[in-house]
Amino acid sequence: VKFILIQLLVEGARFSVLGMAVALSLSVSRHLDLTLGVPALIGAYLVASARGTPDPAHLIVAAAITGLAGILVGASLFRHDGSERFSGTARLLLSLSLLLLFENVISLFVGDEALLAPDLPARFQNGIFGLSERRATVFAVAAVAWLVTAGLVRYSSLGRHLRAVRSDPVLALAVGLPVRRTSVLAFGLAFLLAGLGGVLTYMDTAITPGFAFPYLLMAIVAAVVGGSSSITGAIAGAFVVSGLRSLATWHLGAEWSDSTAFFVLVAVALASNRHGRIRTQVISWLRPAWLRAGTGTR
Amino acid sequence: MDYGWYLLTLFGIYGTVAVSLVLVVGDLGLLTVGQAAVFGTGAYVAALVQVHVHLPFEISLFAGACGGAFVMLILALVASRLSRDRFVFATVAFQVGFSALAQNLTGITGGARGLLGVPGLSLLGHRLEPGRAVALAALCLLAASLVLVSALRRGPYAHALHCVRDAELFARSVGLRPLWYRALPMALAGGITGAAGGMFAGVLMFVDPSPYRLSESCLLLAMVALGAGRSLPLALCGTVLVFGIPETLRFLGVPGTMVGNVRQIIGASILALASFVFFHLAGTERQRSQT
Repeated sequence: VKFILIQLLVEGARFSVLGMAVALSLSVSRHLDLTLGVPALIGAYLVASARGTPDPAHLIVAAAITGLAGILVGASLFRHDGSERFSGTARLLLSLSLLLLFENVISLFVGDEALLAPDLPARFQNGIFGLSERRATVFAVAAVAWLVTAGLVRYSSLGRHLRAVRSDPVLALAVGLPVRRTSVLAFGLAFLLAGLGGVLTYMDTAITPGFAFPYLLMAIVAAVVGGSSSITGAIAGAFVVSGLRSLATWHLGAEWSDSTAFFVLVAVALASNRHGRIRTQVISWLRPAWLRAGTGTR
Repeated sequence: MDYGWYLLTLFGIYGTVAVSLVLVVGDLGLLTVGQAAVFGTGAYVAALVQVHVHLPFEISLFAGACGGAFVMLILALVASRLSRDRFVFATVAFQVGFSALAQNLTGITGGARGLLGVPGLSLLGHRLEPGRAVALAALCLLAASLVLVSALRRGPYAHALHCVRDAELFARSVGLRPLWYRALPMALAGGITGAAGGMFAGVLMFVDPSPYRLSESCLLLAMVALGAGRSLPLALCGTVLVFGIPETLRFLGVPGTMVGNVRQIIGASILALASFVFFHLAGTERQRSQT
């Protein structure tokens, strides 16, 4: 049980970082895309290429490079009025092909063998609250990422603009908000978080060139479960997904954990309407009658 | 010479899958990343029917086609409830679920080691020898699927299909039911892909999960992306590009592990180029015409 709880905590923390990236990109764009797997790959392999114990300098360099790449990608995705340059189909195909291209180029030049970060120097004899130092570091970095991102979205002017664009991009443009700049910066932040997520994955588990796709899909499940464009929802969704995976590992075996998460994705997708909101009938069915009466929901 | 026949067999089988994908991607406008799973369903159903029930190859091919059609009918039901972007993710989920089942239901599918002992191709009790006969059988399947799909893409039924694809609301307003108009082509595409899977299992004489993974689905999609999913000849050209060029690299002494990477890189490049040139332009054109 202890092992599964630790797994839930650390895996959920990893998923939540990329989940926040997905939620940020969905805040400014109507389309789901898979490009966020590329910065995760770049971040992980940049740190892995240093071949030493990952330190804060590695994290900063990886985050800076992926963040810059995100700004460039964002600039190519949005027109001057903030509208999107690509249709949903073209964007999905393009992002899928970019991810495949990066995976295979890395596989061709670096090889397919699994890479794992070396252990951190032991400062605590029994770990921290039962976590190994490596996993405690992963959780701590993820927690800092939650605080910084949630704070940025809640209190900064970028966050206010982001919420305005998410709510109504046309109105935001009409009142003179910098819609394009907001969208591009949101993409930069999303790529930065995705790069960070890749580094955390390298610190937690062994990585191969194919790790980014399943990791990204789990993050998308987390973001969709959490309400598609909410940062706190993505964090909560990541822990729900991780919890379901842990339960599946416990009762069915580790080999069924991924399919369980995807079953949840299909169930949520079928229960949600075309705008990504969970259907009100499902919500009223899930909420007990006394709670509905208390909030005045019919 | 035998290797040439084998390549022709592969062209016949993957060309058949490409033809069925044209129906789904081009005529229905549904992007699917789960076609390898439908292909795999056909292969596993046909192999199981042959290995465990000892039925002849023709019946196993029909069973594989039924398996593929059934799976695609379920996807048609899912498609009627989801937007197109979300449908893509539903097909990804289906693909991952299929891979997990193929890998982990060891009692039925043989797990990662696969299902061995699948009898080869036969026709009316006569065994088809690997080489020319098998290649001809694969090309016959391709020709049959071309005839079926071409017939469906002509006439008023095709116009109704394209109306459902391009303007679903308008189609509903004139009394066309999108689910009914999607169900038949999806079932036909699933049946064709399932039959190709059944033939693939017979050609290899075993089934394992590796040719039916998510990355293979992306390659299948790359085959039809060259013609924006709408052109049958370009889909066949895409099949040659994606599966033909990497195979010729083997003759040049490139190691087998690198050939897999090269195949994926070629597929991804075609997908990137096609999505940029065709799908982007088609989307922009449609937006302009709607404005």
